[in-house]
This record gives sequence, C-alpha cells and structure tokens, in this order.
Amino acid sequence: MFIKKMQFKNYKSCLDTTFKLDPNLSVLIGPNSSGKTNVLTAMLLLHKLLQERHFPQEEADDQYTVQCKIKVWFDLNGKEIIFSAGLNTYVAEENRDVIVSSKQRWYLKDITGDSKWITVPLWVLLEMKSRSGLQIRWPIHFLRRSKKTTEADVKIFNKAFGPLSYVAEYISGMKYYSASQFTNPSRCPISFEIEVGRKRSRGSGRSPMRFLSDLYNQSKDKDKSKYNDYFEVIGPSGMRLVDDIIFKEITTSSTEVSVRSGGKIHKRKLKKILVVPKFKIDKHKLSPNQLSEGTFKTIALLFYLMTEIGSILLIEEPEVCIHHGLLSSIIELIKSYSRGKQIIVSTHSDFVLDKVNVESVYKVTKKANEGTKVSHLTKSMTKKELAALRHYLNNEGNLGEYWRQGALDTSYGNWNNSRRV
Amino acid sequence: MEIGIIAEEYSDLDVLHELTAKIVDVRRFSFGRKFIAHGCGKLRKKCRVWAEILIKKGCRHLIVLHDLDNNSQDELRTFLNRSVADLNFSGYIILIPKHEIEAWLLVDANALKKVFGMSKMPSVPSSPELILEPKEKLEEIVRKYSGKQYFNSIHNRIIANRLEIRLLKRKCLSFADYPSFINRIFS
Repeated sequence: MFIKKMQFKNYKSCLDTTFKLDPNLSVLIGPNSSGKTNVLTAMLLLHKLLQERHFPQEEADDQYTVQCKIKVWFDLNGKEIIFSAGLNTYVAEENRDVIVSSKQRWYLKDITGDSKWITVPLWVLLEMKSRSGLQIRWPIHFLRRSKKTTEADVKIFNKAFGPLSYVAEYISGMKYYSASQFTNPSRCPISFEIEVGRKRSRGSGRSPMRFLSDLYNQSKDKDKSKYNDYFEVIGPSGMRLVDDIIFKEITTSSTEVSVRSGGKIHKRKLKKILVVPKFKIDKHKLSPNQLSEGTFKTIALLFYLMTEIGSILLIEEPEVCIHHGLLSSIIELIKSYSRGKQIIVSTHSDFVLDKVNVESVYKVTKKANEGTKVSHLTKSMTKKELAALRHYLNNEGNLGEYWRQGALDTSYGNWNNSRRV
Repeated sequence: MEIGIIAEEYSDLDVLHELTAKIVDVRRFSFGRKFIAHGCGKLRKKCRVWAEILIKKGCRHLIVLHDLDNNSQDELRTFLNRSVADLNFSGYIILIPKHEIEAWLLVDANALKKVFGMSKMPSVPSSPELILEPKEKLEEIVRKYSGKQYFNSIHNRIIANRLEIRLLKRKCLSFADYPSFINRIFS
C-alpha cells in the first residue's frame, strides 16, 4: 500500500497543491520558503486526524481557525481509495498544528463498485482495531448515529471494512523526523531513572530523553535482534560512530506516599534503577551530552529508522549537521528502507541529490498568489531538457551539480518570484 | 605503497580495500589518495584530471573502478583507458564490475551465511555477472535467508572481508586480472 497522490487546499503556503508521489522514495527540493516543510506537515495532518477523538474543541476560537482541505489517493494492491477531509485548524505554540474539527469522507468505487462517498472518521477505523470483540459493529454504530446515513451507506461500509481499517493502520504508522530533531545533545540528560519491571518510555515526543530511554529499553528487549542490527550499523563494523554503548545501572529505592479518602495513608515501596548511559569512542567513555551534534543526530535518527515499525516516513533535511561521508551511508540506508516502505525526504543538499535516482526527485516552487506547487522533476521537463539532463548524468557530472549550477531552474524562478512579492 | 583510486562510491573503495588486503599485507598499502565521483558521469568527465592530480600527489599506481551498469564494456574500457594510458603511472588497472560491484559479493555463499548469521546456506547464482541488478539480488538473498535488511554502505565491506578470493577470481571475469596486478606491483 502507498500514497499515490495528495492534494492540499488552503493549508499555509499550500493554497492549491496537488502532486503524485513515488511508491518508494520521493525527494523534495526547492529554495527556502518554497513550502517543503509545509508539504510534510500537511501530510502529518492525516496522522493527527487519528487523534480526533481528543480534539480540544472547547479551545477553538473561530478568529484563529483556518479551514483547509486535504485529499489523498491511496493505492491498495492496484485499487484506489480516496480520502477527503475538510479541517478547521489553528497553529499553536512551537508552530504546532491543532485540528479543531473535521469532516472526513471516503470514495471506494474500486473496492465496493459504488460511487457514493461515505463518511467515517479515521479515528473510528483505528479504534475498532484496538477494541476486541466490537470489530465492525463499532464503526457501523458510529455511522448510524448520523441521520444522513442510509442503509446503503452501511452496506458500502461493510464491503470496505477490511481495506479501510488497513488504510487507518497505514496512516497510524506515519513517522516524521524534523531537521532540528536530535541536533542539540547538550539538552540530553546524563542519567535517567526507571521503575523496575515497568518498561515505559521516559520523555515526550522525540526528545533526547525519550531517545535514551527507548535505546535502553531496546537494549534490554528479550529479542535483541533489532538492537544488534542497529549496533552493527553504527558500531565498529559499520559506520564506526561508537565502539560500544554502555548502560550502567544503579539500583535505588524510595517510598511513594498517597493519602486516601478518610485520611488513610498508603505507602508503596518503589524499586528503581538509575541508568547512566555512556558511549565508548576510542578510549573515552562519553555521556550523551558530550557527543558531537552530528554523531548524536545520526545515532538517534538511525535508531528510530531501524527499530520503529513505520509505514511511511517523512524525513526533513537529513543532511543537517552530518559530514558528507556519513551522509552518504545514511542516504544509502534510507534508499534501502524505501524499497519496503514509502519515504519522503526534503533536502537542500546537492550531495543528497547526487545519491538518489533522478526519477525520485520532485521540485517544490512557490509563486505569488499560487502558493506552493510540487512537480515531478523529469515529468515536468520537455523531451529536450530530459535528454540534456540524461546526457549530463551519463557523461559530465552528477545531479546535485546540475542543480547547483542552476540547470534545474528552481532557484532562479523562486528567487525572481519572491522578489516580485 | 600509495595506490591512487578513482571510484564511484565509498562502498566500492571499502570492497576494494578488503579484497586487496587478501592479496597483500594490509600494512604494505594505503588507499588514502582517492577521488570518489558519486556517479558515473562525473567519474568519466573527471577521470583524467583526477588521475593527473594523483600522479602529482605521488601515486605511482592507479586503479579505476567503474560499474558497467548499462554501458558497453568495450566502449567504457576504451574511454577510461584513453583517459589515463598516456599518464606516467608505473601501472594501472581499469576494473569494470559487471553489472555492479555487488556481483562480486554474490560469489561466496559461506561469507553471506557468516556475515548475516543465516541458519542455512543461501543459494547464490553460479554466474553472478549475469545478474542485471546484483544489489537487488543480494538484498533479496539476505532478506530471504536471514530476515535482515542489507545496506550496501555498511555490509559490502563486511562481506568483502569474509570473501573467498579464489571463488571471486573464478566466478567473476571482471575481477580475474586484479590479483596478478596487485602481486605485480608489490613484487
């Protein structure tokens, strides 16, 4: 399964943006402010819709909400499933998108033979997966709550139940790695505490704390294969970033006191472990906050790339802080993974472009009044332009150079337009 | 001894280094003087200029490594030969793995079994140079027999390190002349 086409309307710079994606690897290039990040965060809205049940409706203020639309064409074994959603969103702190409300619809003609749109929110589809016993009755119950739902709608849904739940699960596996993620190891704690017997991640989102905690948990997992594969890549036999990763464990104990109604005091003895991670490089044992930015970013990014089960990965500027030799290995890894899952990368690096197939590249441009546009590099070329590019790649140089020398036309066009604005 | 290298990718250099170390003591040579093209077009365009710089840097011997891919073997060899033949190297060799350097890594089932911890001996092609996409083939074998993911930038060097060079010489014509070239320059 993969996303073959997307459309965003009125989302930040994506005023009316439609583009097709590669089933494996899509590389977005374009000048600053052309909208590459907006394209990725617009895709993330899909993932956010899964949490619609928890949307903070009471916080919505009409003054700040914006109405936008997303439309996604999925390919499920050659059959098309179209998802369309109208969203009310606002931008919270840290430039975080918050969805206030949405209306989500599905077009399933290839699956059901019926050309009617049906309304089922993504969160309902995902929820039925986690509710044992309820299965299909749960979304049908949800459908029937709407007065507009007819028995015909229920019949269509019955036919599409399997594929739709598959789509919801696929979207839930979407992972996003921003450019600034893991780039500041000085924020990284030098130790953390965990409760014995409770395998729970510490820290939020993709914080350095969370990374260390996830790394520790993975190293203690009964099935060590994932951790071993990961260490083989970053360790002495692979990229040689670290010689060893050591977790020193110090057992501590404390008492948790809580007061129940009626004044009864309840005490619980907690056995805890203080974990002190160390990264051995040459003869030195370094705390995580002593690692260089590039090393820290690489070991964290590769950890999640290799150990998380994600269906679709959005990676923003993987080149940030990374030496070109190491970047070469990272891009090769991303290319390898893209043969098994859909990956979308944005980049400013001509070196990254040197490493990827020209057919994977998409140009992102922005014009006044038109907003962000995404076009497939070779498909948007004339026959003569394409022949010239192929001749250059075969006999003269690399794609990154071609781009840097202005031959792909993105920079000048955008520079010119942004000046006009 | 400083040997100048012109190759397409770092992983190609890694493979060549491991294989050379099987022919001659690793302390006797260095691949420090090199140019990595990150693409075939650039390698062809720059081959002569880079070879001249390698001479200026003191390299007396040169290895040019270029995957055949979809090119004509004769044309490519003639082109690369012409680029460096009249330069003042004591010896040089043009290596053109057919169709990619990963074909060389497909020769030794035992090496793959050890590197990827496979429970049974993988079935490898008897003529790896006939495989049009050896990288994809290698990836397929690794996944099938070990369930692991193959990364060329990481695993090529490790596989090359375990490779039985006798098998490589026998199964891959594109490699056949290399051991005698190395032995000659170190004799």
